Amino acid sequence: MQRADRIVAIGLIFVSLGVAWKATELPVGILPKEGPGGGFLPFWLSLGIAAVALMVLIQSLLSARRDESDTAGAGVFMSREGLGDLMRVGLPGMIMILLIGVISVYFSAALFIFYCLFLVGGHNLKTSLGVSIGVPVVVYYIFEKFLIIPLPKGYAEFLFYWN
Amino acid sequence: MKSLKPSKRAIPFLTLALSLLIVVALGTTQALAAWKPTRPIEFVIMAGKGGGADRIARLMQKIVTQNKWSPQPLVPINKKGGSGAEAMLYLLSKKGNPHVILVTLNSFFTTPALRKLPVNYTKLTPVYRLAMDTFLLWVNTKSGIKNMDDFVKAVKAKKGKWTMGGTGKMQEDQLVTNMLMQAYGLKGMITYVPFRGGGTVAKNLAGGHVDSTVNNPSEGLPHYPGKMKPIAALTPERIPAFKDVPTFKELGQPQLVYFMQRSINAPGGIPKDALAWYTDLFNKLCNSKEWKDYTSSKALNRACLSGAPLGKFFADEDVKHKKLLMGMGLLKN
Amino acid sequence: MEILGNLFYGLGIALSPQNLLMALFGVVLGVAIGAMPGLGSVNGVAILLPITFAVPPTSAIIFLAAIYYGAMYGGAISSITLNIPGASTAVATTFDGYPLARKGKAADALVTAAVASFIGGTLSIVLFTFFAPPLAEFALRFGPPEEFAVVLLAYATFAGLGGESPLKTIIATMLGLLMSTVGTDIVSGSPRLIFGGITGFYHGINFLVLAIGIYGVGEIFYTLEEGFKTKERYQAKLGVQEIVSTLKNLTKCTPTIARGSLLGFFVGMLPAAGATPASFMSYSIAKRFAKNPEEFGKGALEGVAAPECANNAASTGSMLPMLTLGIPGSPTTAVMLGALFVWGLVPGPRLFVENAEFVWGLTGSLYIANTMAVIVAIFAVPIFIWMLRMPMTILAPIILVVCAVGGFSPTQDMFDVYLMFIFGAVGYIFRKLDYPLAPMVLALVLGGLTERTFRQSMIMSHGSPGIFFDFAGHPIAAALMMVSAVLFILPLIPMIFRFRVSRSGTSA
Repeated sequence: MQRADRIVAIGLIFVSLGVAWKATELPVGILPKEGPGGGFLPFWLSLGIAAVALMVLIQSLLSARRDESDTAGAGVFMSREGLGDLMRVGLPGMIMILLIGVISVYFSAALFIFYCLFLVGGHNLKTSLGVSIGVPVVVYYIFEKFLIIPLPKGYAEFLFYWN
Repeated sequence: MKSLKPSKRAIPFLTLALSLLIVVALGTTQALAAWKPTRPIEFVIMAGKGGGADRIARLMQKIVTQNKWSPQPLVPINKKGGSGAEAMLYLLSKKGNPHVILVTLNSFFTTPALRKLPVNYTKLTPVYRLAMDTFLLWVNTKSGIKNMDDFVKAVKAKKGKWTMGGTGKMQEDQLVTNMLMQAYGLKGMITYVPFRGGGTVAKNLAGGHVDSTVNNPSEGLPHYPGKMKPIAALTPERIPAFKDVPTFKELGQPQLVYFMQRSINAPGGIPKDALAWYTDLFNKLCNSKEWKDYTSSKALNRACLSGAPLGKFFADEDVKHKKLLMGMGLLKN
Repeated sequence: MEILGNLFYGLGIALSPQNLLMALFGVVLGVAIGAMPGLGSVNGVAILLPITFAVPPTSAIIFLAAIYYGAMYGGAISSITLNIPGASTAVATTFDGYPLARKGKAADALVTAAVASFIGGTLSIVLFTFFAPPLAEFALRFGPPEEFAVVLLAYATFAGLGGESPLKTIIATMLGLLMSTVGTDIVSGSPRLIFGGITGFYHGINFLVLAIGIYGVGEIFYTLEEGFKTKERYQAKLGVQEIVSTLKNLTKCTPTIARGSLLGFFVGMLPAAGATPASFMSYSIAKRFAKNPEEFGKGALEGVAAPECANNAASTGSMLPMLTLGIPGSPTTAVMLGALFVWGLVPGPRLFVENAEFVWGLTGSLYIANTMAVIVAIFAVPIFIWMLRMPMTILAPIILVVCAVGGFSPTQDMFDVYLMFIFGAVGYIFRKLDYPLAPMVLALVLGGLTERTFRQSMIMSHGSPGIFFDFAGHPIAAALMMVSAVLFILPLIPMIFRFRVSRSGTSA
């Protein structure tokens, strides 16, 4: 847990310094007769984040020496089984998101839901198929037919428009 | 008589052949003229929900839907980022796709020039111009300003502290403000305060938070005549809804003419038939009673234009806007 | 008296069968849209606008107002049951709504939300009916400095409500503000922080993307790690007795609701950010006044009632400047204002004279839509309770899919869906490390407005910050700034005091 805390603090310092550098594309100072320039807020905010993150880091390093049972220091960041469960659904979830632009949100969602229900959740075939087909069909009717919001279809677009 | 025999047989044959020919000919002409949208049409708006361009787009959607002119729905999509840059880049990425159209503002010319985008009007297909929105110079009624002379005096009296509200920087309102300052020798005397939308600009004038604006008539109407007073119009002729308001031309400044074009563009390289279909659609729209009613009640100039003249109009506007930006020192050659 | 006559005239219009049907239809759709993560009232009204093309403007505005109302109720539903705020207005509802759901009290929270919304909405409509024109004059006095002062007040009321670690609260707030600067700089018009022209960043970071990411996706990750299959969903009971007992409990929320409704109405009426800051301010004020502030954030009914009455009150409040001045008090009314133009109506004082049927029909329908919404919302409670009883192995993948669809639909950009997933991971890690998420969301929602109004004021004053403290020129702004200053300092006093106590405690 403590290690994760420090990694995040270090990550924040680097990211915010990078953003601060990017913010200098616009004036970061106070312009005469106009007040702060366009880069002022992002620049000083990112420097501020870097500074406070550094304080978090220092605090964490100091508290390690003093007190092991500090709330932020106690416990592990993630248990092994927890991580396993997370990966078994989280990774496919990521793949589902990436596939939306390729095989359409409908097929991607159907595959993902079926995977979660049948392979991970251990539901029977009937329930798994029913939910994995039912949800995309309901989403299709609500979004495409009723609300008329075309959702991404990727290369499967021709399947949805016959003429 | 013998010679008649084959000819007798030829009659049904010829009829058949001819009818087939006709069918084929009809078929091919039909195939040529019969492009129709086969999926929902993305109607991209270069501004956020609720703004002027958004309102126009949704009005067009209403007219097309009510008259059932399109077999597929028009789906408005707001791509407001980067003063229109996001929308134009999106159209560039949709090259050859006839199911995407864009409704434009004048940032259609200024944004690509200022931001050095890989896209400008030449990379898109001009489809139709529907209207030219007009501009007026407005002040708060409490200011007591009656005409342009009063205005110039009042600005000078404030010694550089006069404020002009407008939408966004380096966009229409600021261009107009700059034209005004040049024409009346007020350079450096007006501070331009950018707001998010025309309605907000008008409200800030009505509430007395800024000293003047160059709102479109539709934006000023809610506060007219109670809180906002138009001083002069940036049009060649008087605006019918504001008959008492002189034009700058009458006041001896004929160069102070500025319009906001409302037109439709498609991505580059779309099929000719698709362009023909859209031209026809917007031609119907532009000549509809609903559009005429809207333009007259909101004091817009209804201005239907398509084809080659539209291309020329865009080219002229592009040159004009580049000159304006150069005049302000925002753009170099 | 004249107003009462107009009101009865309006109620008559609103009670015609067609308008009644439009209101019911709108409320049901609104509740459904509000409950769906991603589609808040703004998108709901914009998307369903074409449906109104077939009916006269009065019926159409009744329909849109009913959607707006319904969505306010619906937003609370997903906040409470799934911890996903359907719209920025419902973020504050997650603070106590979700903990209540986890304790098995989802039904109590949902009923409280519905009733509080009803009261907030009704009080606000009454104010709207009787005081619209003078209040519009008041709203007109709010320019950039006054708007900035209101936003600052929102931050001030919220100070001291962060997490355990003040440093991490500061980081979260600053991150939210930083995210709000991505996109286009409103004052100079230049693109800003688009990281070499990533088109997806041009439109800025949408609030919904962050909220669905850190709350929706992050919550799923959190649950997955706690044990996907073994996870027992909270037992939620619902019967007539539960509803009756909740209603009895509600009496202790009365002062909270009264304060929240008034606050919501006034903040919503100001042409600033509308219902979102109102709901946050109401929550914080409820906590400050509460006898049991330590229960807030762990499942206090007042914590659900406060933001809900305020956001409904604000939604009515924001219609006031829309009709009287032609300026939107919230993003949703901006779209409705666009609809007014599509119908060929000009808002402003003349609308009340020239289109009395429209104005009073709408006013009348607000009373009716509000009553319908509370009934629909209470009837919808069992459906959501049933949904909550589904095993996580079915619910989690469906929620992820709905989140993806919800992240896509407002901007129609896949980039936002990817970003949402990344925010999910960030939200998950932040939660584990005690970085508070609410300040980040609030800062993102208010960030743009804060920066814009501040810089506009500075331009107006030619670079002098004195504009905010000028009692002669901008008395409202100056007074609000003073109140904010006091509110910022107040929570510091017990903090210093506590620090001393703990010091003496350890030394003893």
